[in-house]
Amino acid sequence: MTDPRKFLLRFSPVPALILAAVLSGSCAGVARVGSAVAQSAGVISADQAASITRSAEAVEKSFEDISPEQEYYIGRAVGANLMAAYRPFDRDPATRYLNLLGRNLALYSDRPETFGGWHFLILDSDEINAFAAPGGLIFVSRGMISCAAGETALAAVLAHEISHVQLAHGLKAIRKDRLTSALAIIGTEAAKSLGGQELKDLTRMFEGSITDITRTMVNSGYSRNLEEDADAGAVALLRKAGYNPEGLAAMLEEMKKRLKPGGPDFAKTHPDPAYRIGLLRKRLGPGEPIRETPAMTTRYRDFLGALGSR
Amino acid sequence: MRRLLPAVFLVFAAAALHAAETAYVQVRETQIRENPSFVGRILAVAPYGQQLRVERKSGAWSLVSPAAGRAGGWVHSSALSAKKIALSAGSPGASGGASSQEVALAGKGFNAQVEAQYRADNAALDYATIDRMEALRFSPEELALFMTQAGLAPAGGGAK
Repeated sequence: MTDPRKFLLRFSPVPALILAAVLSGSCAGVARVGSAVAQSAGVISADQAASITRSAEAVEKSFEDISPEQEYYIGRAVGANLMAAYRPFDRDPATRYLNLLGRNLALYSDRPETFGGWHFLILDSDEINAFAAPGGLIFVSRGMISCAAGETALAAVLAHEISHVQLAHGLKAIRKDRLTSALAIIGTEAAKSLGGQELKDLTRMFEGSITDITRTMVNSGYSRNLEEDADAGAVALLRKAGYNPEGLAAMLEEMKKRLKPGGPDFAKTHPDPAYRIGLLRKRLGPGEPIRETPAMTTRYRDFLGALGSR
Repeated sequence: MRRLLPAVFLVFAAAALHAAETAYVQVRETQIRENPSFVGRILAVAPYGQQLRVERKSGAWSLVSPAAGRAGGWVHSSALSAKKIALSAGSPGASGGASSQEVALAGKGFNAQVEAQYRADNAALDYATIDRMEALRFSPEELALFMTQAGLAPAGGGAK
């Protein structure tokens, strides 16, 4: 199989600024490019800065104007891009188990209802990775699952991804100027049907938006702040659902052992597990040991069996 | 402070009298339930864009009815929007000066038409897998059984 990241990078020209950051290597360096517009404020003219501020304000207001229905189409496209690069492991009972766990967790989120609902899929890949597409499409690799000692740890991974969706992190990765132009077309469109040129323009902006999100998810990663928010959200979600939030700490400990610095997966797109564990310990205190009921242990073992894990 | 209390009470009482507000279903479909819980019995299914009257709220749940005086039930508030969702350009509220801040046109913007064009432009995309993901469904009983089987004691939230 070709390298998924190379495949995804082919999708559209990478803006020079972000490309430069990616080439410069360090994970933190890339994360800081998250708000490229704000970052570059120091090197542009006052007029440009004012114009950028204006458009940022317009987006701030219109960001919520991405309706759940539009978020749904964005999410499907992001998912379709991912699945062009990864093979699915879509076999019962493994898929059913992952969905029962994920959908139950999502019921305890702030957004149990999304336009098209929550859906979970296993990626047939040994790399340690997980993705959340807007609207509630969540993908977890076999490599990531193999880091989870039990259902509680797997629940923590899903809770982190659910938080990304709930906090609209994917949508926030769409370039501001693109979103502003798209919403402008959508605004004028209300009066009449979608004409040929408008469809073309809107599709181009759609494609750009999908590339923004996919590239952020797969290549550059969200900012450190957003990852911290997703971890905090995961802890709250696990607690509400009755899972021990120590599952997240256990997961991060395992990832700390297995992730290779400079690796193409979570190592590239997420803050160092040790750093995340540090923050988590502050949040959780000493924590309670993870105790799972026999039913949980049995069904998780069955799940791993269905996956063909060691 | 003591003198202020009756005034504060009055303000709240007035707010309660005018509590019924209008909301619109902003997801493909949502269930109206007997109780404010995802394990509550389903009384009806409300489709995208349906207008509902919100009688009152309890946590993340809204007690809704199709119209004043009609029997209703509970909907999770994440399925509802205060913004009117007009199902087509011709429907009431879609024109007549309402701004996009007040009205969202269903099926506009990034929609099925845009998706079709995008797919035509990018043949390598794997939408078939996404369609299969979305096709997997569970009954509310199956979902609930998963949690009770595990002996989990949820602390609260939407499903409570």
